[in-house]
Amino acid sequence: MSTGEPGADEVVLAARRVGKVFKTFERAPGVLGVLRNFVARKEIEVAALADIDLVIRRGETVGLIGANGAGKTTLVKILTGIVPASSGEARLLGRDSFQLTDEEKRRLALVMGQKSQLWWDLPPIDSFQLLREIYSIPEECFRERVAAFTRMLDVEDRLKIQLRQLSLGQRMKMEIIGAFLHDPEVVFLDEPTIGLDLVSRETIRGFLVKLAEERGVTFVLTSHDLEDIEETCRRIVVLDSGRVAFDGDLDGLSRRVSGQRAVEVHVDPGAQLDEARLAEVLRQHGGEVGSRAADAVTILVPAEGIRGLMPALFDALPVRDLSVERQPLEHLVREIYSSSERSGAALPRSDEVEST
Amino acid sequence: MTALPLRVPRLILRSAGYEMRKRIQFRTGFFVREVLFGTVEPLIMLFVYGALYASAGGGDVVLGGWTFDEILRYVAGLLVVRKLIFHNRGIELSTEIFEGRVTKYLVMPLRYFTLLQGRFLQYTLLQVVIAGLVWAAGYGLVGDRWLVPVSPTAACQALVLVLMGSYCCFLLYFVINALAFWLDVVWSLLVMSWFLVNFTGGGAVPVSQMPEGLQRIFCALFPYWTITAPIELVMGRLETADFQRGVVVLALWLLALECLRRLVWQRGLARYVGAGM
Amino acid sequence: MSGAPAERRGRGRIAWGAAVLRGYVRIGFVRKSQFRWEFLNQVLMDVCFYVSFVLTFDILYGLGADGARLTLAGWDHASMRVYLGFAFVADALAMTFLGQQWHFGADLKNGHLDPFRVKPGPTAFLYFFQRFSPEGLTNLVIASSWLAYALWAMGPGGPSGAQWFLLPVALTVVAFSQVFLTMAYNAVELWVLNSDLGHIASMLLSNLGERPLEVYPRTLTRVLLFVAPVGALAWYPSSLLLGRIDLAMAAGYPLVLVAFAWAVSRIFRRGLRNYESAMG
Repeated sequence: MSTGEPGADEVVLAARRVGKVFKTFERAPGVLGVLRNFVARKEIEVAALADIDLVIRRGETVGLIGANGAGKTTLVKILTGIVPASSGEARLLGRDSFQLTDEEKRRLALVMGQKSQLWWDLPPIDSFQLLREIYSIPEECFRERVAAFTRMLDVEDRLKIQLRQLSLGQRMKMEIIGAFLHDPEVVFLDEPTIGLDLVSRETIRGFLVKLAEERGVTFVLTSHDLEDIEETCRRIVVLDSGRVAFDGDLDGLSRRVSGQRAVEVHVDPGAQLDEARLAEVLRQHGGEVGSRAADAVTILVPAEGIRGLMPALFDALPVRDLSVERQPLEHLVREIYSSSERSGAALPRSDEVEST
Repeated sequence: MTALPLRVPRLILRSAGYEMRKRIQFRTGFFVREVLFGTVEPLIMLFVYGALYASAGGGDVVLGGWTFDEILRYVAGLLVVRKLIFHNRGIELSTEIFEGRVTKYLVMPLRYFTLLQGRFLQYTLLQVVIAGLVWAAGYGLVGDRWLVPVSPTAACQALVLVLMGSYCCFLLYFVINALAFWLDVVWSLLVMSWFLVNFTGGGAVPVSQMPEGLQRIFCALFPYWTITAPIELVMGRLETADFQRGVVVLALWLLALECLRRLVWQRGLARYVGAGM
Repeated sequence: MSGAPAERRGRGRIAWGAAVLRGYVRIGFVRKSQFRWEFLNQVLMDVCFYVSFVLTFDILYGLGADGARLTLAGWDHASMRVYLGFAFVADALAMTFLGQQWHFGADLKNGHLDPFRVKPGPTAFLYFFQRFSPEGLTNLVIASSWLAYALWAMGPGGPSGAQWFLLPVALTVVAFSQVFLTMAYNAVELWVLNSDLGHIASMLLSNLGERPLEVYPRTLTRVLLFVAPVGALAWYPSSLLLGRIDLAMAAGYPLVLVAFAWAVSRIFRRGLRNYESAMG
């Protein structure tokens, strides 16, 4: 049963202590190893997710991030009812995700960046027509949406070309159009911008933001690209090794990092850095080395220390070029990962961080 | 750097090892695909022949020059021979062409065909073992009513013919797969080619039990020398002179198919654009 | 729950199924219009299959010396042609509507069932019917023509009134059974992933069903009639039309098939819990 009349506070998705364990076999390398496995093999269990708690309300835009193998896609598959959870409970639109009725599935959509849901050897318009039948979309609405969405994503002239002959970006735009044709309330997007160029990524982000604002669509977006998340989501969930490492709103997260600046210093090629002097300067101004590359070093420093740090850096290093930015989200996420690794547990929620 | 003449055999061996690992990593799948596959039709054939001979009076009745006991031994031979013939599922070239995945091989410092030869080698080595086990299991079950070679020489001659024929099948499937450069999808051609190989080779009825006209035509084709002829050699129904004729026919087919393979591959590559362009 | 809404919903579901099937048929034609050679090849492929079967049985029945009449467990050459007719029609029906079954194992392994799991409607229906084949339809016409020829060749004057009456019943049984047999074969793969067991079960049982069931040992015949009822594809319809079975079998066997369909649907839905999709 649904949870009643739609409202802003309606819980559309709730995961309670969700876990997923896959069984596989240990495979020894080499021909001899394979022969040994053929005769006797050892079954092992791989925990992809453990004790995931998550509540998403109507209209929320949630970014799900994590490294490869963190469990993002598995979580999406459980939440959408593709695979059942091994433990715990996942509910979508008020019902056990794995037991969704057809009516509930009509309110749901899934886009998978690495898997085409449209027919590979058909022009997209034919796949869309089929989706119209499957989702029982009225003809008039169908025409309007195809026209509007293709215009928004700039693929109006690609509708009649075989999907396999389209570029990656065009294909993904068609996938997204296909997912939104039936006007879903909840949309899961699993790495929709993977491998796309900057222009395509920006077009897709703009499309998602517009639909979320205009239609109040609840969406869950997984991506490796934090720019995607920053530009489209208000809430961020960080998964690390199958656990929730952080769950909070993006504004809070930004506030947490807004006091930090990242100073990227480029030095003369082949120049020797005076490490002792650099360390001394950083100590004086409360900075630390964020990352290093050939001929460049990124320094993280509190905003109030920036004024004093700059002249000191010019004195201490053979500076060729220099830029100052707010600390990129990547650094913070990296920090979340390492903190999660150190503590072996999830980080506190952002509201808890702010209150301390 | 390894000299070229040594490099190719080494690559074939490496590729064979890799393919072997891929093939046996799933036990149930391996058993179903490699052991069960090809056993169904000969067994059904046996039941059909049983009913047919029973309606003709049973006992030692001879139909088309064959007694039922001979048919039983023929079916035993069919079970073993079909294990050895390269299967049309063994090459995925047409899918790779259709999906644009051939590209990755084109930039490698080796010929794509060398990798496939490795696959053929691996297939043959493993199937010889499986065929031997199938033969031994059958012999253990029914004893002397099973197909027992009249001589070791006959068994060796039969093996030579089957393996040459199997390589003909390999080349034929490569050529048909490569037609995907022009036709995109060739799945049905592959299935059709198997029907033809099976029927003209004697997979449904021994060729020597067919009408004269069909026999004359089929004897000029390689499937006959791959299926019916080797079994009849082992049974003692054919002799060394027939074996020599078989070798000549198969060698000519090998030559023709190899020329065709080169032609189709070269012309096809000139048309290849890859997918998603 | 009142009857009227349930009835409306029932009708709505059938209308929805028909609309989706119509959509699949349409894209089947669109797809094939892009692969015209493949269309021709597939028609030829099935013609090859039919010809090899017909030739095989022509050769076998022709082996009788001096016009001796051979039979296959009581099936003479003329009735065997009818039997083959139903076997061809069953095969063409599968090829026309259920061609996707050959990809089920690979699709399970590669996680290609995902899109069908999130779409409204039964997963099995959306998945198995997605690949309508116009060439299969062409072959269905060829197979039906052969069946018509075989029935006409049974005796002077062609089929009797009773046979005309029973023919659509027999064909409905064939179509119904083919759908649930396909589901049954593939359900196996939901338990033993990457085994090709469904594929081999399909080939094994279909092949067994393409010959008169009486040629097999009695236990095997019973299995093929009541456990994995491939007997419904050619044996039952041809026996029904040729008057080879008694009334109890003629009337009772469809009930066995309905029970089989119910069990298969349950097993398939249960098997979907084993679907693990694919990483990434």
